[in-house]
Amino acid sequence: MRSRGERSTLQALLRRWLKFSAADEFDDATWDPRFAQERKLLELLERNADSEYGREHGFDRIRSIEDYRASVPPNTYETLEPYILRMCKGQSGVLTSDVALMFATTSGTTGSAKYIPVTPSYLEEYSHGVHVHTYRIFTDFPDLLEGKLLVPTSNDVEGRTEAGLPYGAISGYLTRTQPRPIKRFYALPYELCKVKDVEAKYYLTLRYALPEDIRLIVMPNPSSMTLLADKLTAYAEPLIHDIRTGSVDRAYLPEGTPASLGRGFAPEPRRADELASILRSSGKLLPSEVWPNLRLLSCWKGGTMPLYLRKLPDAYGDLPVRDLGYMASEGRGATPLVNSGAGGVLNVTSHFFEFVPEEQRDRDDKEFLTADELESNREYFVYFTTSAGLYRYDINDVVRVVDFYRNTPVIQFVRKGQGMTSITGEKLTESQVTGALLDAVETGRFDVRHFTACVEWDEPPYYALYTEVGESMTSDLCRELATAVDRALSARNIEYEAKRDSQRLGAPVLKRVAPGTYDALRQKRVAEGAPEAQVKIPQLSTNMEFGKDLEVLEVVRAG
Amino acid sequence: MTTDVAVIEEVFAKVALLDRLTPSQRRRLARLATTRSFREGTVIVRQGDTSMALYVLLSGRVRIEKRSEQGSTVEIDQVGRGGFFGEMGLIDDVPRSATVVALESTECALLARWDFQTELREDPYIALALLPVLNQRIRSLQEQLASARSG
Repeated sequence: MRSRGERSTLQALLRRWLKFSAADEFDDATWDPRFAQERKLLELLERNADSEYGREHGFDRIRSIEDYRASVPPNTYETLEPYILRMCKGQSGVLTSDVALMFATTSGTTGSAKYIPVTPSYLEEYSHGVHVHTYRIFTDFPDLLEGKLLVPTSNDVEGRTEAGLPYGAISGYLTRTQPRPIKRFYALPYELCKVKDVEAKYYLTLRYALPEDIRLIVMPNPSSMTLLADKLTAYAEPLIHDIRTGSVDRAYLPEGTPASLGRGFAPEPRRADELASILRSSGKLLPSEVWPNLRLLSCWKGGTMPLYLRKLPDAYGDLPVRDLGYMASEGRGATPLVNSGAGGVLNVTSHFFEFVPEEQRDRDDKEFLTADELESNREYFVYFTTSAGLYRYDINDVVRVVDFYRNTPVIQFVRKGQGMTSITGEKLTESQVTGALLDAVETGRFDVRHFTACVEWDEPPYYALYTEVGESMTSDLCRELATAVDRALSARNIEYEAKRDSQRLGAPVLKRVAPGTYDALRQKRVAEGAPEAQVKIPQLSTNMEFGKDLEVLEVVRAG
Repeated sequence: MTTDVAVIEEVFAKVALLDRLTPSQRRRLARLATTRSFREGTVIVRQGDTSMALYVLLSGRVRIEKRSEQGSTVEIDQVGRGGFFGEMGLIDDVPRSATVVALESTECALLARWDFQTELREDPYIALALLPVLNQRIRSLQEQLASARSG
């Protein structure tokens, strides 16, 4: 246990370090984003000029953003994949001059996982955004570090490539490599990210957090915050018992759990009494009551998240919620500086960004814009250039400009690009849905005429499978079909599988529509002016109200 | 943008929240402002979005509109040169309360909340000058509340 004096010295040092290592540089750069971006780009290209990709594209001759565009084509994961696969096999100097420490995994558009190289310089860029975000939060909520921060992370070593390099989540890597004095501000130990069993993970998270004075909770998805609150009440009795006795219920230490997680707890009868008293008086344990000094929640607020955000006050009261920032394994796009809305200031000192107006995406002569050229309230596709070896990389995200901070745009994530949905981070593509459906239909058991999957809101949300089927399809066969599609989607998309396993996505529900429904839909589109040959009813709709006006004859849930 | 600081300062003097500041305080704030042009028809800010700055019109004209819970949109004001919106966002961290659309080519000066608050920390007299304006706001809200209760 550190004394109050030591703790406040450490806090002051941490604040100064965040300010001088990142926040001031970022803040200064927002006055002139064009200058900051060109400087960032040239620095990044110079560092990687000796890589194979750098030599192929003449990085050493590039002197401006215009030169860069003339030398390097826009990329997708598929165009960079041959290089990345060689890096996975241990080759160095392929996309970047520095070596990959690990690969961040994310779901790919064609089914298999994407591997994003994580190099030391990429980690520096990524952490830069984290530090700016953290500094501003500490400035706005100065007493956060008087208590502890609850920040669950994901496993950084899910597996290893052929060359033995780990792949997994960057968040786990950053937690593992934090300096020891910083770790003391966090309620959860790094080893918790190794727990795969969802129930055990939530239980242990609460076992570590409940005795602490939690001031800030950071979880990317607000639905996870709601689930945490639900588990708090569900596990109230065993948690109070464990806190009283300084133990951990063995039911929540499944085989494979790191041994350190069950040890080191002291009995805390006074805290157990407090919690028991709250439970007696209100019949449940609410985060707002068990952590009365909780100051702030931080999670994603853009895209489809408002659906979940509406639920937070039930458990957390009227606490401010700050967006976590537009970010992905591929990079950190924006840092929120205020709590209002879901916008963040473009991270002009982290990576180099280009933007294409949303309506121009499929045009050959699309216009690439820099940060200083964006207009208010317009939507753009984003292209990242980062030290991970992603050059002019189309991340397939649409963002909207919601405001300006000095001369730098404030952007908000709107949605994944065409043909993709992601309500809990599953990033499901139409090709994955089509593939899963074909897997099921090719068994010869199901007579499917038309099919559209779309997310529908519930707790948890689920995919509705609007299906027009033949007369031979009984209710049991419809259920089997939904189950087969669910399994095939899990096999094709690791994020979908993870979200289903962790209960953040419910089982899909097949909604059998009346015969002739799709013909009527097609006719409606033609009547609205679409050329008949081009009318295509999608197999994955991003419109959550796709089925609103359809006549549904039967509803069956997979499982 | 090449708009003179003096022009921004002159327009700041007409903003209720800033009109009690001394000329030198307003000049310091004007130096921290950036300028931005918007084409006719552009949505400058949208109701519910992140609010980062005060906007002051240097030229042009805008329509301020509000969406009701029933989904209909009502025009609540039109403002021209010297008009402003987003002033409460300098103090409160709340989303935009209305949508603002440029009715013609419009130029605005933007003062970021962070820069305004940094000035506040460095010169607490700015905060003192704001108190009467904020008091007036509270009184006005209380009157509206009383009127709503009695009506």
